[in-house]
Amino acid sequence: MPVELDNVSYAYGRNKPRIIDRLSYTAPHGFTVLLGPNGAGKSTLLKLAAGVHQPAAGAVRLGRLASTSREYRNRVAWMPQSITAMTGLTAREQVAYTGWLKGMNRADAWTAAAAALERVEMKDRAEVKTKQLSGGQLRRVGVASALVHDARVLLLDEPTAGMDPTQRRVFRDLVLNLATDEVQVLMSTHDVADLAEEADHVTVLTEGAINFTGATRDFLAHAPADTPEGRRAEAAYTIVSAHSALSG
Amino acid sequence: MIWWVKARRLGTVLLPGTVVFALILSVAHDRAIELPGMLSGGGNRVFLLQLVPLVITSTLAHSLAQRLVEAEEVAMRNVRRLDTLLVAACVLAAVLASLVVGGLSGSDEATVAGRNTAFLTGVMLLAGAAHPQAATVAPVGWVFAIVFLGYADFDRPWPWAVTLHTPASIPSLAICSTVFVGGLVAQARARRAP
Repeated sequence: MPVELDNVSYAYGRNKPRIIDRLSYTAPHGFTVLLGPNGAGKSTLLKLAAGVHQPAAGAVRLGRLASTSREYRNRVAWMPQSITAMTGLTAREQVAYTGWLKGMNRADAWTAAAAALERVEMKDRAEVKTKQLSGGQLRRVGVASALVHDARVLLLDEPTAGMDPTQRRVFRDLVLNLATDEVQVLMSTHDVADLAEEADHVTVLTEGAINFTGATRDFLAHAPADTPEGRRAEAAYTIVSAHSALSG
Repeated sequence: MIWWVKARRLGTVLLPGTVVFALILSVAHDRAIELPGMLSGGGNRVFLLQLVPLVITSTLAHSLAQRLVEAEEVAMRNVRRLDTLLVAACVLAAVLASLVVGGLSGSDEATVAGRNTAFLTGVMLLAGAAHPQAATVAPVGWVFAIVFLGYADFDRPWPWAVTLHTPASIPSLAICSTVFVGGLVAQARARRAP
């Protein structure tokens, strides 16, 4: 079941301009990278899909589940750009707290938190207070929190921001392993070069509108034929964005 | 629920804050200082116990601000209900403490400290629902307002200065209760999307 936005509009306040206006989008299965410039509406789209924001018009669904339902919240996990470091909680406690909030009982949440931290290679930092973690480590705690309750849809907002190249590589491998037939991953990023070529699908968002969505090979086909390997995603993104600006 | 208790810092902040409230209540009674009044000709007698509810409102505001917003806003468990129960329990404890201390000592100021705590907690919650950062400031602002502007004449508070009135004042009790319930409703319903 993919996440589906049906004719959705959203503004941050009654008299504010709409960040997203009558957008319809069905996130494809597998691993989808969401690209776009700052202010394009990527984070807003992910918050709508996570049920953090409710649309001013239209509907967000997962199959027949409305984004306001408890069952929807159980199946969707969201990792925001900014991860809170809770005073007094260790990494494992913070992840377990997220699991408990998602309806798990205490024992299951505690066990699942350890497993989730192991998946993001944070087992050795599990008992460290989150306030003492580095930015990259805290992001991995954020990913572990998204993984703790076995969600079917993972919505990751700029998860690689602030990570060094080694951490990004580790994270890329982690995300590639997460996306399966049963788990859908939708991830926004500025990291076009590192991630877009690895994804199953690419969606480009500009000024609240989708101007490309499709298989990665179709996206990469926009790159000029003489583009070196490893630069094709960036070249394709530049051309898709420029085409959008010209047609807009 | 243990992680919610730790996250809200109940053991490290709220419980000690409530104990400090009870301790000040039991020793300060009717101690007062004279401050100049801005709307009255003479001075204002300011009881120390007019300030003591701020211990509860500031620790509660701190506890409620300790939120894992990204998880709590999409949670399946109703954390806001827990927070509302926490506020109600804390204010109930303050009211009981003030009635006991007031009854034993015969101090009117100690008796109304609980009522005033309920009012200022309501102010804190309503302000926090409008703007989270106003939660701590609004009760302090109220206390300063009544200290300098609350008296029409020496020992004769304006009707609006509800926290200066005696325990027998039914209108003050009604207003304080209404503001507190309004604050609880606002707390239970407010969304703070990240």
